[in-house]
Amino acid sequence: MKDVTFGQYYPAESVIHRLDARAKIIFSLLYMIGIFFVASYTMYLAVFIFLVSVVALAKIPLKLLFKSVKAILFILFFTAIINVLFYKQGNVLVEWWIIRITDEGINFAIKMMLRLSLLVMGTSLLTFTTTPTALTDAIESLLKPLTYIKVPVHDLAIIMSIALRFIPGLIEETDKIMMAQKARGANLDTGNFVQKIKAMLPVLIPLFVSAFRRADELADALDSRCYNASPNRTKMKVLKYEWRDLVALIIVVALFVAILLDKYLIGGEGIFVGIDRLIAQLISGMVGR
Amino acid sequence: MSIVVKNLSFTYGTGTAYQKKALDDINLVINEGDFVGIVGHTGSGKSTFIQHLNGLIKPQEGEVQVFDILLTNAKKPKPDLRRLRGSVGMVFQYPEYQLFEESVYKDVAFGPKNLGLNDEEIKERVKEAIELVGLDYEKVKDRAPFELSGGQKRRVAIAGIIAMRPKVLILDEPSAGLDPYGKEQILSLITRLKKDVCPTIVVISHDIDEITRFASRIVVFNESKIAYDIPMEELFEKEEELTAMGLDIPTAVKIKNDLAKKGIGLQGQIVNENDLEKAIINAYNSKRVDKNAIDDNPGDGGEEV
Repeated sequence: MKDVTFGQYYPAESVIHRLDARAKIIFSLLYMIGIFFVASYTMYLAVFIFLVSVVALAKIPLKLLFKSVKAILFILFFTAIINVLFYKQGNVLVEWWIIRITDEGINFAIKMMLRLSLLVMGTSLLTFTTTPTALTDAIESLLKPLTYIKVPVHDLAIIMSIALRFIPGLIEETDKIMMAQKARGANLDTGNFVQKIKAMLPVLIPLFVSAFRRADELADALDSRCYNASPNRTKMKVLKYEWRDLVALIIVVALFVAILLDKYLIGGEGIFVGIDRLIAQLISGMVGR
Repeated sequence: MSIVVKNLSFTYGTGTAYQKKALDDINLVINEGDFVGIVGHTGSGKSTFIQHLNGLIKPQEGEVQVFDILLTNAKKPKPDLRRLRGSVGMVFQYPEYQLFEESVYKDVAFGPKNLGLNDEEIKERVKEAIELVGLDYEKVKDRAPFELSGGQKRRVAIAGIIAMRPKVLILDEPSAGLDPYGKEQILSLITRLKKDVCPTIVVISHDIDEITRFASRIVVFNESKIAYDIPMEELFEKEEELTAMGLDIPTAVKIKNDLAKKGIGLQGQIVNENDLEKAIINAYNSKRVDKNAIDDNPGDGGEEV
């Protein structure tokens, strides 16, 4: 249970950790949009170097970042294979029945894989460097304008932060209950799919019971302190933009602009046009033979 | 010897930001018939330690031998975990949170069923276990465990472990969160179990007054190591050291020490209330005898004990 890396906070003292959470959300959005405009291998390399430098700045082990990609490995290969098999344009290398493999198809599939892994690595960077509380505060602050059209932003933020706050507790609880049932001889690891599901019942039922109990207790605790989600509540930690957020913004925007320039001005061939062509030719050459 | 632990070490989250050494070179022998009390501050490693004793945690370094089953970090040979868990019963903190079946009978039968026993044997064991924990078998067997009271739920959970007929029983804070009446019942249940069913018992507790009432031996954990494993009377002379570890000495010992400071020495080993009570009665009686003997010398203190 403790191996879940996606969406987990990694505590460290770094510039990236200290960036304003709202800024980091905006950067992540920019990065996500940017990734979809990356056209050349050179630019992928550039984005990757950018990502690795941010990780180094954040003092997060690279291993952790790759672990988050491992989680989507299956999706990665699945989309790649589908793309290779059914992409229609480009020079045909192999054709058989409804399957047609083209050089452009292979190129497209590789780029898709790079895109998805960069996407996951970049977004997990946000949760690695931002505490869940800071994240919900930031989301609340960013969604504030919606209160004018009567969206209960504050309630949503509270619900989200409570849900996030429950996750570590529930993971711990699951571990404990699994231990307790194992001590009673429960066999949780072996057997086929149906047997495994059945074997999880002694864990799931107590887990649900305890989740409801916790929720109930929390609701009582909130009620007894007269909590209501009024919009005029003040915060203990007020979010404030600093100079470093501005610097970071400039860097991210620069990357974004570079991606767009590469795609629309240089035509997706990369700054070092030769290298990109070479890679593409190499791939088609290898498969073509 | 029931359990032999040699050079056991364990670290949580190796290689992550949360790395923490929980056990550091632990050596301990638990003999058959021992009633071991384990005390220690939160995070001293005692829970991690007991989880090693029935194979819930695989040793990282060192070894644990439970009867003829040897646990090490080696991949092969695979220890017979089912047999191990049958011979070492583990009652976790708040065991009532592990209840899940629709009836008390089914829940208590969960352990024996996992041991692969036949229905007849299971039924016999369930009945015996429920009666042992002091519940009325006919009355509770078809009730849902969730509608019982807190103390009853806990007793059902303990019955679920006892029904596996372990040779060693390990309990983690068995009386935590119960009212004084429930506490008393659980404690007398444990003493009864020790006498009738399971001769070797290990109990984790942070209430030193409670644990000294029945434990024959106290092991003190501090900062991932065993700090003390010495006779109780010697142990409680180390009040300062224990306080530094966030632990207390029994009230009975405190009273004995306070009396000693006032010049009243009590005889015999005193680690709990019962000892203290007896010692005081003895002292009082002998004083009376003394006084009767030398009645014409009233100036020798005149303590009222």
